[in-house]
Amino acid sequence: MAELNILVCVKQVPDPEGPPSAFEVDSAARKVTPKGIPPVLSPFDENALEAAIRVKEAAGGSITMLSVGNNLSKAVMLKALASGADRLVTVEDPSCDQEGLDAFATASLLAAAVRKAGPFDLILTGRQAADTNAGQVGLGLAQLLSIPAVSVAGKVEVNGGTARVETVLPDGYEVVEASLPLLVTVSHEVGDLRYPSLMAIKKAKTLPMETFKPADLGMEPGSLVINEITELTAPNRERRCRLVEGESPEDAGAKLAALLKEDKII
Amino acid sequence: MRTIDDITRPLDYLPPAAQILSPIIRNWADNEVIPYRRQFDEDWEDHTLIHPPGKKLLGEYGIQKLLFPVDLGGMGFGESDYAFTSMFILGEEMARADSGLAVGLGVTLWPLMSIALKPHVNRRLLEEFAPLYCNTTEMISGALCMTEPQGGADIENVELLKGSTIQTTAVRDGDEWVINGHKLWPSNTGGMADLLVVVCTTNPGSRDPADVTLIFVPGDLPGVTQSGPYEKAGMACDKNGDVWLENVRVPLWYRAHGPGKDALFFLDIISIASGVTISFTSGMMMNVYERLLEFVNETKLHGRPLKENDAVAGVLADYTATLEVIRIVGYQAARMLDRSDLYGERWSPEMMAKMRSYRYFTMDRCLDVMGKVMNLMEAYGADRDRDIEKHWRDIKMNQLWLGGKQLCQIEAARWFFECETL
Amino acid sequence: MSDQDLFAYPRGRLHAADKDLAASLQAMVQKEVMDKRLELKEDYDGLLAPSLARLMAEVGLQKMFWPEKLGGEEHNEPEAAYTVAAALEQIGRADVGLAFLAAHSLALQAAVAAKGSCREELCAAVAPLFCEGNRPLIVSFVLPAMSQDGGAPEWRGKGIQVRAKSGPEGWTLSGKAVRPTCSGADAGLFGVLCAVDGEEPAFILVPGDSHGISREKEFLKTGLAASRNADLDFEGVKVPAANCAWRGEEGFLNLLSWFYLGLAAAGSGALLAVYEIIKEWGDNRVIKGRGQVFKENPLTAALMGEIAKEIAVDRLLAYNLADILSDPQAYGDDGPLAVFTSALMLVHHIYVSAEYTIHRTMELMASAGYAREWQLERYWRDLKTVQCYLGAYELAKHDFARRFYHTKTL
Repeated sequence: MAELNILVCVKQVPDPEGPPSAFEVDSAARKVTPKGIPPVLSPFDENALEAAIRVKEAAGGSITMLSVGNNLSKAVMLKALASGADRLVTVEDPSCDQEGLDAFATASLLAAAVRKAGPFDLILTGRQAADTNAGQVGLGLAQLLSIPAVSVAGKVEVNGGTARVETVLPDGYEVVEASLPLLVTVSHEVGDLRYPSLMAIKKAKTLPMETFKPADLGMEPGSLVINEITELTAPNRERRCRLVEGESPEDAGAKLAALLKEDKII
Repeated sequence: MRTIDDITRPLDYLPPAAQILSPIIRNWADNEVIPYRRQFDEDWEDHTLIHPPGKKLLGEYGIQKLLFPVDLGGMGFGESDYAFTSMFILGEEMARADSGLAVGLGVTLWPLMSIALKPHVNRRLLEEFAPLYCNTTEMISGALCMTEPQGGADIENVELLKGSTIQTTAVRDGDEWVINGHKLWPSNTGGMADLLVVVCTTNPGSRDPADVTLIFVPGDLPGVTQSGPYEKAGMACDKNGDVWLENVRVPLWYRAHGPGKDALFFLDIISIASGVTISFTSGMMMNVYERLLEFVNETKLHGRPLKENDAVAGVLADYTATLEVIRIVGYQAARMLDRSDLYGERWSPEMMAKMRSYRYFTMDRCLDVMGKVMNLMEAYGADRDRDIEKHWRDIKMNQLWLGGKQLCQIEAARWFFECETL
Repeated sequence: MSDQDLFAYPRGRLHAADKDLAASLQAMVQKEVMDKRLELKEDYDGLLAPSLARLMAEVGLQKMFWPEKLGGEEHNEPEAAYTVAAALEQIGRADVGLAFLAAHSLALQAAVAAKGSCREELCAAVAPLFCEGNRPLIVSFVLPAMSQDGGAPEWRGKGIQVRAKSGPEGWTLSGKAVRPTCSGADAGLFGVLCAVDGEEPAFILVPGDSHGISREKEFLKTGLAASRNADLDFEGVKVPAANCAWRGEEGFLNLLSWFYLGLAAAGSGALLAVYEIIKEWGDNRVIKGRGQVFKENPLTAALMGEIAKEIAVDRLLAYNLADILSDPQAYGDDGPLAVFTSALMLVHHIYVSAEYTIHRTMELMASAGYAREWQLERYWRDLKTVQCYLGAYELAKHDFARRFYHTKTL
């Protein structure tokens, strides 16, 4: 088999570890605006990149990172590149602002970019993005590319033209083998993305980087089907506090356990 | 060869019992504590090694009886003209071995001071608790519960706040007090307190001293809950923790004295603690002197003992000069507490200002020179086996309790400069 | 602007890669060390050893200076001093002990593998220990010290702990109850200054598994939990002739200067963490009967201001030392002794200041200052331990006097 071409689709999101108070819901503009939160790679996408690096270490090949957005942070992309990718492709345009793109539009842009920058044998995405948590783009991309997909992977290996994927189940894992080309959505069980060395940081700036506009991919303005957000409001949080009393701490504990069972929490 | 007995103390202040007291405690320190103290830090939770020397001194030697009247089985120091000088000797000798033990053992006596010291003796309460302290060879732990979650040492800032920030409440219900509140940090808690004295208010937010109450609470009463001990930088022998009081009921007469007097005698025990804890500082410094003396004799620089280097000698001199002065100041403070007929009431703003001044001044000086000698010993300064680093950690902790340095400064400035808004 | 950026440093002198490395390390230590601190405290196996492995082997700090052909990153120009400062500052912010160990490795690399001075035979012998495999290599030094052996040969007033003899098969080292600077229990490589009869001292690199090294039990100490230190005996330890890094003073002074840079940066980083702790305290604590936010009280604000001043100056000094090492000529090029003296002065200044600063911070925080939960006390213990390992300040002052007053007999 020729050199394995791996693609990792990544999304830049506001750091999900930021405090909830920093995310402001603007109902009038129908936008969520993070304040003072630095952009990062979506954590499951980091797992996908780590999975790709491990496949490359074991089977050889090269890794291309692909991202769609507007005003993507160079620092975020370079940091990810330095971790072990070989090439960066971005689709950047004001129309690609992720606030405005829904999952289908994003998958459409990614599919067009894959056709332009590919072919790729193995496409990895995170199982879901940290901002929307929709989990639709990866499988949508596979559908648009007409290739098979395996979701929620905890481990990915490639041997010749076949991938062996361990998918995460609530009570264990399942092993799936599939021929390449293949798309796999990756979960955190794969492991954290490694930290880059100084040499890799220096080298990242010299790696090939290409930026496309939607028009370069044959997608004219207005051709993207975008869902319209008709209403956006912050959840109304009601806190109810109930004190569980008892004759003794043990008695109170037993009553608490009974209530938790009643509410099917335990 | 010089020893710690060459460090000066004012012989004309010493109590008649000093000749007996000092050797007993020193013998206890040398045989029961010092051989084991290097493992104490790891024993902070269980007190497997720490408990036996505490039990021996307090329970078996009976030091916990010190303040009780003789006719109740005690030693009668509560009404002695040498109570604080004697406590200074005790504190110094205990802290020479381990200041955490000194704090823990000393604090067992501390809350009792509100009822056992002349001129404010509460005979009924002494009779009530004498059996607990005097009819046993087991160690009893007493605790004074002041600090609360919000405001921290604000409660100790009595002059400014007049008890208005106290959140722990004592509500009269028939012939009982019902106490509710949450206290942080008292020494001898963390699960070990047998008797608590709790600073409460009968009227939250009030600035009337009559509403400040000191109430005795046996540690095993329903509604008293102690957390496990906090993990700290040192002083493993002194356990600190949270204390929660939920509808704790005690008889009305468990209040130390009564409206107005409780607030005054709370000030008294703060003032006493500020003065007497200087004994811990000089005790630690004396042990550092002993260990330092060994080091500078054994260790060579340019083929000669380290102490023979003029630059090193300068640091050594600074150390002992500081120790000499701190010891003198400490004994002077104890003497002032003993002789309120000469120096004024212990709970007066003047005495509070002066005791706080001595306390923070001596701690500052001690920390300065102790840090320098630790560094002088290079890698061995940080080595547990040399004992210096333990005292260096402990002295800092000793400085920080009772509200920290800034509170001491404010109390001092307030009185000496007649500040009105600090 | 991040809280760190409030404290000025010559960011324009750092290359983009230095900044990226620092940012990556900042994120890494936050996630791998600081966020796990309350749970794992100072657990060596659970927290510190894995973090050390990540820093040294995965991020590759132990490969930084070595030539690419030997598996290194060949980041070995003098400007690497800035890289060292930026990296160790971030690590020191999380754990001074980890930064202390990294400072040993980076100093040795800088002294042995700097561009233009890397002796091929030595690099070939030693670089594989740093660059092959994915295991962290812990480097420790055996430096001159005050000792109980009154007859030990001296280097700048202190006794040399180990003696070495040169023979046809290389060097043979002997020394009893030797105290290394760190990790006597588990270091993989010792850099040892050795006395050689009738000749100039030799700095010899001794692999930790060399026959004849016996390690005592790890001893307890004030701080630096990442360093499991123990005394050593060297009994006829043999190493190849190539393992002698240099003879005489020049190389050793250079090594120490880089070591002090690492310690200065570690101290600066720790003080940035101290700032974060007292800032949180000052923002959230309310005193005087809930009437005043802590930082708004004139007395406490003055002290907090002084703490910030000390930290700001210490950070500038640490980076100034990086600047000196990156371009000694710009400072007069008076040779390695001048650089060493400057480095020694700056690092002592920072550690005296650090002790002062943390004492003031602890006083502001009262009991929380010594509670493990608030973390401040760990920086206090760690920095004091580093200061002790730096050597007695009183004796360092003699080094200053030698340089500035040309003393002859100190």
